Amino acid sequence: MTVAEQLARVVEFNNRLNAFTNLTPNRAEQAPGQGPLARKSFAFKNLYDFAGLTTRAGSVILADNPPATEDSAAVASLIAAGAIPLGATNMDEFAFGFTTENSHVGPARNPHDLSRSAGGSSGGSAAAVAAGLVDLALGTDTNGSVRVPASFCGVFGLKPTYGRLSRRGVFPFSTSLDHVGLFARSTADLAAGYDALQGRDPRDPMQAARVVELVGSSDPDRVLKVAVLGGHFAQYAGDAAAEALKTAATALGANQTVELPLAAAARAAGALITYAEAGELHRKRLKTDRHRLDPLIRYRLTAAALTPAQWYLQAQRVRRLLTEQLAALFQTYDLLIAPATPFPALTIGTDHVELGGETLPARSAAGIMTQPLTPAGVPIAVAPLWPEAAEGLPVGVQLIARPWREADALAAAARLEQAGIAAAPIATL
Amino acid sequence: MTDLSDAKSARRYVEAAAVAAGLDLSEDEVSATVEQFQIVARLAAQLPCDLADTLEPAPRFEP
Repeated sequence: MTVAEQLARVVEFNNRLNAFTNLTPNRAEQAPGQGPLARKSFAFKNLYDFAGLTTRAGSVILADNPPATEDSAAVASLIAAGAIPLGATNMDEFAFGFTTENSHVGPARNPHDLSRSAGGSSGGSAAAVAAGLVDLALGTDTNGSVRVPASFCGVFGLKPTYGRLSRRGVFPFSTSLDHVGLFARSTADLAAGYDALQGRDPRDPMQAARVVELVGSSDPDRVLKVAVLGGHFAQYAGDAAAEALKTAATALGANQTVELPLAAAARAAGALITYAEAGELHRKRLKTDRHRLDPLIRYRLTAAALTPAQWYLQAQRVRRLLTEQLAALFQTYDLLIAPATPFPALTIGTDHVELGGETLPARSAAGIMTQPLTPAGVPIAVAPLWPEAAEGLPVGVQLIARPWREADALAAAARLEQAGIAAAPIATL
Repeated sequence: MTDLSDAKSARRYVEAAAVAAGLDLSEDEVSATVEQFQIVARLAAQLPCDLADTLEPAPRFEP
């Protein structure tokens, strides 16, 4: 398919999906298309700098800014590897949400059921991949913003180790938790895209001084000792999520269940860190432009800007303890698994859900499985499963590896894919 | 840690902290912010309160 044909297809289907906010036909036509990702198309969440395009981060407040003059490191890396950029994608305003119900441009819709959410905050990117409009898409993950949409849209996703990939040119949300992440419909594409994104970037002060560790094609035969995360993760798993987890556990030979006692506190800590850092990031905008913010996040951000320093620092201490608890589990196991979301994709506009015997705000509950893990910074892949209880919708399983062992998470995803248990078929639109 | 999750405490805190943050909030905005701040306060209440003072407040991520 030519670039023009691919773009025409995006235009045709985007009317229903609202996955893209901008197309980039000129840069698509000019892209060299040579390298390991030759002719693979990609999209990028509209918080990635893309030369010639204003970086909006889902907000109208930034829409009048001048266009970016340089590509973000991630966009530049994918283009250098031969991928073709087709456009920027829809997201929650300033990445502050799990459902991409963006009131400025409308919600991103789930390709498997247009009445449902694509997840968030990288919902447009996941939807574009699930609909077959692109081969790869860039997202970001601060509390689950790659993993939740991967689960809702039924695609593979990867949140690498914190500090692994350059965040240069990415509009921030919560600096001590923000990760560059990626979506694809196959583990081979996911691994190839991830490899293309690796590399030291001296212009990103937050990137770890880690050597490039290419994963190549993921090895489904890699022997891994796997355990299931219980406790908090079992308590809040709905029927479909529990079924998906059980199927994945059987396929991966995980017959032990372990606890992460700090999971609930870690979820609170992750949220508090996000509130404090995002609130400070947007404090000046709150003074002058808060009336232009999405109503869903306007007062969330205002409250966030008032977070006491004591709470923030205590949350960072919990983060250290969480890291130690996970490290203890990784002395015995190579991989831990848990649902990526407690339920399949929510119907757009859902306010509350019943979960674990509690009535919870639906939008934040979407992140109840991902949020406890992010503060540890460990690499996590999501594999999409299709449990019967989900009635035709996907639910993802998180494959959680030791720090810097993205290869293990991807190998487990490849094993599930090869066994026919995990798959990301193109949605029928 | 100080529990600010009840409506009265949250309002007192928000009114004072908004001034310190330079946010000039209307009465309606204060009410909406208080509602959200109670959510933040309930999160803070879930943190363990017996953490050692000497525990470094963030993990190190160097390889």
